[in-house]
Amino acid sequence: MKTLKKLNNPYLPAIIGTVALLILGQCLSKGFLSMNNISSILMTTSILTLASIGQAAVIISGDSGLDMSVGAIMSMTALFGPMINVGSGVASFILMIPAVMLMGAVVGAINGTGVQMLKVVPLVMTLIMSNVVDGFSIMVTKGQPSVMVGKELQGISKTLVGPLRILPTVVIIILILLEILFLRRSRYGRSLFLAGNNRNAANLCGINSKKIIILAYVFGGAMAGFAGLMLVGYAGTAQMNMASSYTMLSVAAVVIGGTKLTGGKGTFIGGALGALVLVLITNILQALNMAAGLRSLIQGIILIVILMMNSRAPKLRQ
Amino acid sequence: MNKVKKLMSWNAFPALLLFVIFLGINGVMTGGLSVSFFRSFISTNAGAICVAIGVTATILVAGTDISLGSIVSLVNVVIVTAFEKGFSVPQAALLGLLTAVLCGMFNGFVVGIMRVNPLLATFATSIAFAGIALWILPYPGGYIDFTFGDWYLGNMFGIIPTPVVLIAILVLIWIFVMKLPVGLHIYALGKDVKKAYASGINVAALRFFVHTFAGLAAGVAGICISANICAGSPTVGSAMSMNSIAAAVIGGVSLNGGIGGIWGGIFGASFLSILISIVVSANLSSIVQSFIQGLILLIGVTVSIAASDKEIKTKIKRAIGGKR
Repeated sequence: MKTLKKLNNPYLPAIIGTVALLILGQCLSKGFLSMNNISSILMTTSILTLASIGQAAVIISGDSGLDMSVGAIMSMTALFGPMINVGSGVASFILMIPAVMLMGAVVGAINGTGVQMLKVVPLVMTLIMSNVVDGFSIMVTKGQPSVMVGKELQGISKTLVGPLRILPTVVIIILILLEILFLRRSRYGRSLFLAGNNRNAANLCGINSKKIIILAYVFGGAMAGFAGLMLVGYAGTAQMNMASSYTMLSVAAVVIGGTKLTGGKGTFIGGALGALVLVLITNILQALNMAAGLRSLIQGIILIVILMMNSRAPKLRQ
Repeated sequence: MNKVKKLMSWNAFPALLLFVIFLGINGVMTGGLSVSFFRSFISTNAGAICVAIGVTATILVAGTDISLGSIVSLVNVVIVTAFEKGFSVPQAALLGLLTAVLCGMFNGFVVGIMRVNPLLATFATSIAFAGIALWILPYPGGYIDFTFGDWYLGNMFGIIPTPVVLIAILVLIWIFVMKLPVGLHIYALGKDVKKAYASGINVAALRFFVHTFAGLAAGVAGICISANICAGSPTVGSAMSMNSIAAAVIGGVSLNGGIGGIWGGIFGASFLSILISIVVSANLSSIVQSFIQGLILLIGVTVSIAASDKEIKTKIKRAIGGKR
């Protein structure tokens, strides 16, 4: 019981939110809890989860770290990833994954260098990088992307593993592995927390905090790149700026999952739960067949309410 | 000499310098600067400058506001719809301004009184405001009487262009606030929240005020843009919020709060606007334009931050000055 309490504390709001939204969804539209709908919810969630894992690493790195280029990186890899063609479909699919992660990692490396070496504030640095990346995508595709998404790539949302589609299954495994082996147990993960908590203490302990934080941005970029490829595989077609909304969604997911924006604390699993809450909200509103504007209004209000309940700063008077 | 030194160490100086340099480049490229160029420049970009003023105010207290672009869209939609419902143009414009101030007050409530992180809070409200705009006017369309546009492109008091007057009103309000004790409190709050609170500053009220002012600025920006295009579009301001933050940073406003001033926002936004007009008038193909804009923006921000960073400054001085 004690361990349960300890484990659940940061996740509790997200879990309660998920359950409440599931019940609400079933009340408002029948068939909401059908296997088909749930698996499509999990599909969208897993894409947002991938983006939020990278975002969480950057936020944990502290010093108001934030990656606003997630959406731009995802849009870029969604356009460029499927262009890789080495003859056989399977081989090019296998090649695509490291290629898109490399693309994202390069952008992340520029972000990290700007933040750590040139001392540009993360928010601005990554914001401007997202402009550059978007411009680069337009330049390369000449503004008229013609993307053919191969069968293997589309397979990520069509192949079934038991009751689930393959991508959510893979993402859940990746998530748990990263959480335990990368964030909690590895030397790098621990140094990341220390660097995010107290930069000076980390430096005094002999940790090269600059390198650690730049690597966090690289990791964030790579995860965003991977998420972009999965997005295009799920959507089947690619457009310019198709993922631009994912930037702030990933930040919101991480925060709803109990990670503080001040850094030094946080989990990947929390981000996944936050992503689930966000996707559920959108999904319920879509099921109600509302006008797009009203839907976005309600989405905004729900988000404000969640933020007011979940992430208020402590009172100044203590 | 002393004055020159003072100017050089001014926070907004790099932005001013960049603006002047790029103004010169633009003059060379288009064959001389004319009064009509300035007129069209200010009337096109007054909106961006107003939004930058608003966002600068929030950044000074170590916050941000990324909902201003959505507020601009909402004001535009409100003005167009009110005009079509039979209100006169001034009534519609006032209604738009009122909407913007209410939105700003809501932001101030969530950030100041409910103590939610400003970035996330205004992200959530920006979704809500953009939703209202899209709800009222689902598709771009509608029109405003052209007298509105004529008023905007004309002069006030004989010689001063209307957009300049509108910006000046915002600047005067801000200068007036700065003369009051509240002005000092804003900088104190930006430097250190806890110390500011301990010395008896009403943190919540100050944040509320700053976001309301930002809402007002977005309202003025919405009027400028509506008058300039004389049409309605629910997404007209969507790109403005992020650009205005970049503008403020180029203008030497520190995102950690407490450093910089309103002129930084104004010159930063002017620089960004002239940059866009140069890239457009350079006859580059539209495909490369946004990439080059992004690159120049990146260089601009890096340079202006390096210029204000004391550590890097002394390094450069040592490298140039030798023994001095």
